[in-house]
Amino acid sequence: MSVRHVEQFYGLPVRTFPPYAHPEELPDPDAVAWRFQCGPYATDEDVEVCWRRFTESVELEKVRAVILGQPWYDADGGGGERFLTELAYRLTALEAVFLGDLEEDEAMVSWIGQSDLGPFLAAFPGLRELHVRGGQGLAFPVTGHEGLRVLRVESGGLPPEAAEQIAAAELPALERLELWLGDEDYGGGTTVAQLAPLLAGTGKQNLRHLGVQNSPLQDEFAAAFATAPVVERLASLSLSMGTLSDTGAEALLGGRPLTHLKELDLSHHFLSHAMMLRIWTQLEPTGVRVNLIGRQEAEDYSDVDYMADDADGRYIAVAE
Amino acid sequence: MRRTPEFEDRDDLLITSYQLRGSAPWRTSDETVPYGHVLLAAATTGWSPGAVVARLTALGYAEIELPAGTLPVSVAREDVLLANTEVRDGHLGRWAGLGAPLTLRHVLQGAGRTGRSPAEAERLLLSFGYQIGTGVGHPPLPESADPRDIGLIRTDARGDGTWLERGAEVSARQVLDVAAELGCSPYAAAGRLVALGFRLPYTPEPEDERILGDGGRSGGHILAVARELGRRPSEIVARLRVLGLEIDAGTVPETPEPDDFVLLSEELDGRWPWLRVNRVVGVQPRHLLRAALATGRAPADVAERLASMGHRLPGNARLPEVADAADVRLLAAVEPTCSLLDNVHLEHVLRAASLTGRSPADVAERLVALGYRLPDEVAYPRVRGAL
Repeated sequence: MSVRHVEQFYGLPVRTFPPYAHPEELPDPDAVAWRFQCGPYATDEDVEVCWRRFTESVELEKVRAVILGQPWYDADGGGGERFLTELAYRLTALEAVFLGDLEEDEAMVSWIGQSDLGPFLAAFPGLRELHVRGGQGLAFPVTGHEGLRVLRVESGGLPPEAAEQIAAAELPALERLELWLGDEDYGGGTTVAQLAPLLAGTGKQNLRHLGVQNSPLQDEFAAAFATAPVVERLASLSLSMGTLSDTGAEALLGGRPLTHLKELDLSHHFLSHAMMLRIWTQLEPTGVRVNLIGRQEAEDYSDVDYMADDADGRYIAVAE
Repeated sequence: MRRTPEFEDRDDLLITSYQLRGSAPWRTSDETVPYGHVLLAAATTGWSPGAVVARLTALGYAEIELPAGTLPVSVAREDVLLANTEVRDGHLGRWAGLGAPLTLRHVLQGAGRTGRSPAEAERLLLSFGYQIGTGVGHPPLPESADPRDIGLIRTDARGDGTWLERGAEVSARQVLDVAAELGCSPYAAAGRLVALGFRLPYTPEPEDERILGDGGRSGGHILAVARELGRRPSEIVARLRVLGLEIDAGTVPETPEPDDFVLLSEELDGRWPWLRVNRVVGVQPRHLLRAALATGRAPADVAERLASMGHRLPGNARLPEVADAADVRLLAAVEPTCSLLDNVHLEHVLRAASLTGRSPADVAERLVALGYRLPDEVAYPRVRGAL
């Protein structure tokens, strides 16, 4: 699976701010989610020049959503949100931000640099939705944010410390949280223990959707969710994109009732046909819509010398 | 080798510093002083360029680049910066030389950066004594400013870039590519390229804007534009080819039937968005059944008409005699992940059952009846989800 540039964001069509844009041909500031990307060549428009054109030709006070791509974010590091932070006094209507909207040919997901988002979140108390792609260098303030309703972090290797900070953060308005945890080989490796506050349901009393996704420890997370208090308040749960097997699914089905959920997303999994049928027949008739798309077969590593003996051939959806 | 000047006069320090700020780095007396430096020194000090030359000479700078004609009496800083295209955030880069004519890239880059029209930038540079590779017989550069000009003439981004020179022929394909890159209409790009003195293989016409709309590639678009402009579909196709599009719109009927517009519209409403020809997996059976319901035609009849316009069903498709809304709902659940050429696995059957409220067994049986392949040997349950 590969990540793509977003085409819709915060309910708005995405408009890439065109190079050398003619101010008269731009849409209304609040009608689109503004996406920024400059080419990688010396002859491409300079990032500072592009940004200045934007800030001089668009009424920033009306802008609702911004998406920052390359080179605001790339394999060399993050921190592109400083462009927004410096203009927070003008970006007074900004409600949604995507940091690091890069595709694979620009930078592999696990290479995309991020930074400490504390100053950025503090500068935008009105922020409602934040998407982050990449993980290297990411830090999230445990003090959280009063208004954030949606937080999505896409990573092939989310630093466990960052995941731990998000899990512990005070986010009282948060309704949707999606964390792509990623592989240890690419900087990930978050454990169940590190997400303990999240599983306990503390600090996020309005949470209705939780995605703990893209983890090589998905069986362990499934077992943890079987007894996790947070499940009670959720309308939907995603354990997708990971290495979920019959072991994890068995634990999940044997735990707290899931029948109050409207959706259970287990897509990209390693379940047997028998387990898929069992999950479906147990949950669907009670009103839980189950997504079992993306069944994978474990790779056979028996002939691969350099693979560890305990490698079971299961893999997450987005790694490098 | 750089060294601190021996003189201390503030103006002397100013005119001998690279950035004209009176601080290091300094120009050494054994190097040639570019003409642009002389002009900017004049603009910075308020002296005439001639006075700057005289002072630099007195300070020991023997080699000063100067034009053949007379020097301007006075210059303004913003105007002079036209000769330094690499200036960024007030930091000067290389100065243009007098030894060779300036390129169109140079003129447009300076014009774009300073918000001037190409014609004004050209006039200013000529007035300073620079030569410009305008060639002979080209129309004058446009008097209107357009920041996209520099992007229009770039043909290769790599390295120092490749740039068009005036009088060059620009291919129709190149017009489409640059318009896509700059996010403007191909008609606007073509018109501006002509204004900048380039030759196109066609003369841009206002109708091109409409003809190239929606990418210009679908049969529905071609029929709709022909109807709107009062022209034959074949004329629209011919114009699209002139404009650089390789048309793969299927077979566009010269005289469309009344409900062709409905059949060719994705929403079955006779309007954009139009159906695109897919030569790999063919037209989706769901569209065909929806079209049958919308037009009252039999599915087989719709299939035949769509096939005549290039939208064919795969060979394994089996159409019901009568279109059924339940089939449409079922296919809506299946088609996002499976075409008729794909194997439909247990995961897809379960998903379709979830989304339609049918039992997996019912879903599997119906998909087989419609021609799908279900290779998994599974006992599909009869239980239904609570939709």
